[in-house]
Amino acid sequence: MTQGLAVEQLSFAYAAEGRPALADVSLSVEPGEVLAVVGPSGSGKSTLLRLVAGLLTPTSGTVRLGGVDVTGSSPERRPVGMVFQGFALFPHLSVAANVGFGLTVRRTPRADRDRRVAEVAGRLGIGHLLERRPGQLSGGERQRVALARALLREPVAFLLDEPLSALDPVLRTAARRDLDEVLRADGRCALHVTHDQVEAMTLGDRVALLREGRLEQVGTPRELYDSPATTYVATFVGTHAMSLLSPAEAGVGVPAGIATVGVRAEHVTLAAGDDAEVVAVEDLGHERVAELALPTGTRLRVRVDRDDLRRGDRTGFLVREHTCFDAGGARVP
Amino acid sequence: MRSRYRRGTLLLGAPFALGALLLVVGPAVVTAGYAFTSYDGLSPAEWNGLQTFRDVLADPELHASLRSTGVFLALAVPVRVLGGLLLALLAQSGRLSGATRTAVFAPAVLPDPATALIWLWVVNPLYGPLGLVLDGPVLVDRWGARLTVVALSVFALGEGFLVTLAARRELPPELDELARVEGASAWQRLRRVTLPLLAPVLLLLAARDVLASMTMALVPTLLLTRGGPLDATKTLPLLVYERGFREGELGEGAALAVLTLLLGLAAFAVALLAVRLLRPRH
Repeated sequence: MTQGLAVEQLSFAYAAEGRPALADVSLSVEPGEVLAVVGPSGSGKSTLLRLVAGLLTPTSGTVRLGGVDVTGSSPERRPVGMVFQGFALFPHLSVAANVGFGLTVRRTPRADRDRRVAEVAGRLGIGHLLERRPGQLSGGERQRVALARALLREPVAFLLDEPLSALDPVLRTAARRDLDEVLRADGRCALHVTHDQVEAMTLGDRVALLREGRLEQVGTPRELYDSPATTYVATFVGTHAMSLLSPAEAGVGVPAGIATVGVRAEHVTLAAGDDAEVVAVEDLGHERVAELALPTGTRLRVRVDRDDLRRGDRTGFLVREHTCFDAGGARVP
Repeated sequence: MRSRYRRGTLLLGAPFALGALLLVVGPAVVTAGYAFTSYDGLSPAEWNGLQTFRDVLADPELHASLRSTGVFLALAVPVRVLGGLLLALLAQSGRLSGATRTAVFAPAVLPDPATALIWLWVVNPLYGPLGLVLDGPVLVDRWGARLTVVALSVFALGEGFLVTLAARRELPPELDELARVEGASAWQRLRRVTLPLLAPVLLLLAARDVLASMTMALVPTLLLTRGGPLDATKTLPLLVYERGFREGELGEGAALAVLTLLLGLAAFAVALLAVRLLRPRH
């Protein structure tokens, strides 16, 4: 049993909805590990986070933190530090009062509170900001304050609810690095919920992909990219979604029972021929990706080296590597 | 571009500005002018300097009226604002049905005289429900009359309820979750998070309510209690009305109206100052 975070067969249904928001999800996060939970909106990722935090009570299943079953515990009794969207802070309270909020409401003596707030603020380099209000802070400073508040509880696990989604792209990259640094210190673990697969792949040691309340796949970013468990994962992960073709369209020989083959853009080579039409060329600077329309209408994305390819050109292609899926969309090894 | 925009704004605003000038600003200036005269509406007004103000300020009826108005404001404004807040919090937590919400707002659209007539029936000692329960005439008692006027005005909290509810819905839900994760009880979340964040809106509502109460205090006291018993409910607007129109002392009425306006503005200014002090600094 892990000393980090573990959920077992966790299910939850909102009273107003028929379909469960989360169904039979089992996951574990080891100390020192960051698990990124990714999925489109409505996939149940926020619900999962709130179940771990204790803001929601599961219909069935268990939540363990540091090896202790906390399924029935109230939020403040769970060793978690939560960071909300946009690094939410109380706008009417000073930085010190924000960081020490939990100690204040639990009536910790003032001297003790001040000492612990100063200590954690020092660790995150925000000691000089304690008297300010959140409105006077930069994006990076807000992040540090939100993290300081979460860290003050000496949590077993950090729970991050899309904290970066409200930041602009330049700030995001810097914030992502800072976040990563804090998260991995002291052997705590983190559950980082995001709808952005790039963020999930960069920040997570492992990535869990949720779809309609069910776990589609858990694995390292590499595993998800190279060996997607389902066609859904194949199209969700990666800057360019995997193209899904029938074996005949791809021109590859496959064993019986294979309905679909998935092809990454970098695993296709252009060849002599005229079966496919170039319908779009995207130049991203470091690479160029063309979208081909096959005679059947199916689209295939191809990484190209030539810079003379134009929309409307006709070309042949050769699939060098492919992944096989059965009729249900599951990968066949 | 900018000047064209400004010209358009002026053009669109012109009819309203004209109406306001002719129907509000003009008469107000004339009234303020009468406050410095002795005028009964029949013979020509005589310049009186500040004498009219000296007269009304020394008038015991004004002192009684200030007391009545103070009592009315001190009871009605907090009850209305806090009542609206309470109902808004209940509505936000889903504990108020749609029908209840409509019922809360409905009295706000009822004209004041209609409300006054309903209450005249409610407190009637012979057949009114409240009159029967209390077993006696309510309006002949000083506090009975005052509380009846306050109770009547409390039913106009629908607007404050809607504004507070809208403000409550605007608060980011993460802040409540954040407070819960940190171990704040429902009461602590209300006191340390929700109320401070709503405070500017509540104070603004209270300020507006003070001004609104000045006008709202006229109809029920006129129709229900006629300022009685013993001037216990003779609010400032009622005093202005009686002095100016019933007793024909237009000069003194005007002076009282000016005083009412100044007092109302002072109360409003104090509330605005409080809003500014309480707003989170950016």
